[in-house]
Amino acid sequence: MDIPRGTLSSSVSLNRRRLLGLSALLPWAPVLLGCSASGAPSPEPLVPLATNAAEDERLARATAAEAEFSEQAELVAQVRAEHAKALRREIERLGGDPGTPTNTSPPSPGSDSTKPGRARLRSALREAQGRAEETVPLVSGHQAGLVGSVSAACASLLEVV
Amino acid sequence: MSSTELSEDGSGALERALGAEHAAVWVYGLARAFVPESETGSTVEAGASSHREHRDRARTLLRAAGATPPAPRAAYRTPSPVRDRNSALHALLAVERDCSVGWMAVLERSRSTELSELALRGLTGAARRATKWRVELGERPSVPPFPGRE
Repeated sequence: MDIPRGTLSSSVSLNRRRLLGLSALLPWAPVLLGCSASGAPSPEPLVPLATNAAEDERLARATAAEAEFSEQAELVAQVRAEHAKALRREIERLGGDPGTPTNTSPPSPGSDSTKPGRARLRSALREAQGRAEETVPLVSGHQAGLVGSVSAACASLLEVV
Repeated sequence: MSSTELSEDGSGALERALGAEHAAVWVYGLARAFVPESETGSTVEAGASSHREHRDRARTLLRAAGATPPAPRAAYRTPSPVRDRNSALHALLAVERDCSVGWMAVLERSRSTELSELALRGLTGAARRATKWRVELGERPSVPPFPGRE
C-alpha cells in the first residue's frame, strides 16, 4: 500500500512531544486554573480517593491469596498502590493532610464480606471508578487529569478482573 | 448542545485529540480485515463506533467554539505495516494510547463540564480498549497505573 508522508508515527510522536512539553508546565498549572474558579485548589476532594485506593490495595493483597486469581489481584494491588501514592503526594503538595496510610481496619464494606474475592474486588473497583469520576468536576488542571486517570485505570482493571 | 468556551490551549488540545480520533477511525477500519470476527471482532466494531462518536463530538465542540476542526489525513502510518492479526493488534494498541494521551491533555485544560465529560469518556474508553489489546497481545502489565500519562 502506498501511504503518503505526514503519517501516524511521525505526526503522533510529534504531538506526543508537544504534549510532553506542555506537561512540563503542570506544577504551576493547577494554581492558575484553580485561581480562575475558586481561589487556590483544595486538596479535600482527593483525600477520600487516596483512602479508597489504599483500602483497595489491602483488599487486593488479601484476595491475591486465592491461588486461581492471584495474578489479577496482584495487578489491582500494584495499580491501586500507585494511585494511593500519587494522590497522597498531590494532597501534601497542596498543603493538605492525606491521613495516616497505616490504617489497617477491614477494607471491605460489611455487606460485601460474604462475596467471593473476585466479586468483592470487582465491586470495589466499580465503586472506585465512580468515586473518581464524580470527583473530576470538583477539581481542575493537573488534579482533574490525575483523578480522571485513576478512574480510567479502575475501569481498565475491570476488563481483567 | 450549548456553545462551549474553549481556552486557547484547551482548543489546541481538543484539536490534537481529534487528530488522534481521526487516526483511530482509520486504523480500526484497516484492522477489521485482520482480526477475525468470531474472536475479538465485536470489540473492533464497538471500538470503531466509539471513536467515530468521539470524533464527531470533538468536531462539534470545536465548531461551536468557532474553531476549524482539523480534517483527517488520507492515510496514517502504523508502528509496523499491518499485514496480520498481530500487527493489527499493535496498531490498535498504538492508537488507543495516542487517544488516551490526547484526551488526558483535554481533561487537564478543560473549563467546562461538557468538555470534561467528553474527555473523561474518551480517556476511559481508550484505556479500556488498550487493556483488551494488551491482553490479546500477552503484554504485561495489561493496565498501566495512569492511562494517558504513560
